[in-house]
Amino acid sequence: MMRINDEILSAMLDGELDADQTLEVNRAMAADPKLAARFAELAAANASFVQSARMIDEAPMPEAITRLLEGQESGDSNVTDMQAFRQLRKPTHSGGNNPALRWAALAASLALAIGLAGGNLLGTGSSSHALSPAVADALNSVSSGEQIAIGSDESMLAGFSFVDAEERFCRQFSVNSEDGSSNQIACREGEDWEQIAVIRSPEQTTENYQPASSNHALDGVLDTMMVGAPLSLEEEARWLD
Amino acid sequence: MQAQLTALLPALRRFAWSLTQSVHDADDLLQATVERLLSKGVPENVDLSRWAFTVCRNLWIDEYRARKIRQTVDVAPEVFEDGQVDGEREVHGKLQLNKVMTVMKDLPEDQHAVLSMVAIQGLSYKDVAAELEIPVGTVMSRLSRARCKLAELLATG
Repeated sequence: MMRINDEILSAMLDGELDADQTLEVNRAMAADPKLAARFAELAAANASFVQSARMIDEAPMPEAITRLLEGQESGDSNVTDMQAFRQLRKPTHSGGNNPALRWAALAASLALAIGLAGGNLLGTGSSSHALSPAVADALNSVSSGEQIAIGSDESMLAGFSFVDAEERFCRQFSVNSEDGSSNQIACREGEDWEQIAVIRSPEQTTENYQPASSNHALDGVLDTMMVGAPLSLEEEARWLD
Repeated sequence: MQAQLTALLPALRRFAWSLTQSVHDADDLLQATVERLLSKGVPENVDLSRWAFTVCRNLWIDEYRARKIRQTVDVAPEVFEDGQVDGEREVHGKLQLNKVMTVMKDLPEDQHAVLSMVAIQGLSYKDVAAELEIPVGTVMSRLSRARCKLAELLATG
């Protein structure tokens, strides 16, 4: 049996464990809430670090740098595309209150994310992939790092929580069943939960959890949505109350 | 190469920020990286993206860290201009950013670089180990210690 310490949890966060090791860690976390809480702490710390780096996107790119490149590539269509893409990826700017632009940004991020991960997009808020009542109940009660059974053959593991640009309480989580696993993001709208993104990795198996912070498939979506750091467990508890 | 480099700029800039923890130093480092890439080019059979991050990290190690241009961490208020964030969440964001910067400032360079390479650049442990010429176990250990320090400080209110 593997000794599960911070190094192993950190490697789990990065998707660096093999399938057997991942299963072992998932089972250990299900049996030991302290271990699950520690995993959530490390995931939140990592997400804060990643988010801090993304904050530099809000500062304008220095002209000296863009001039270095523009001087040598006038007429290159790829440049225009990337500049347009960067604008889409900043929902808090002019497009922040424009739902169409917000969803365009989300779609652009998802397209990028799926291209990177090779996963399958199951839905982006479509009613055909609405959250089950059991998952919605779990999202209202389970703290990050905790795993809970949501039926005879399904379980849900809460990743971390954050508040999006529209002041909504949002959560990243995974749902695991015999059919496989999916990483998801949902946000609370009044009493209901709106499903924002669902990405299934074909190689994932039952109980094979990969949190969003390590799963690059969801990074683009989170990049678009998150305007601050992930919530601490204490802050999250206030939203759950 | 210029078009590819332009597409890489945002990611490279985040990487520079993660290394320097200062907007001004990050942009100086980014500019030095772009200038170096444009003047020296990319070795044959080497991926531009991978090479650009390597050049950036080497410049940080060789020049910026050695010279220690700025000894103190600045919060870089321009990050929060334009009203992108406001009210309570702005305060929360600044506090979190300050905490992250405080930890990173004191983190040993070897742990700092590994965390940036995995969490920001997105390299696998195997690739980091190959690039730094260290065992994968050392990558795991450095990464874990860096995250533990971050988690410790973020947990203290």
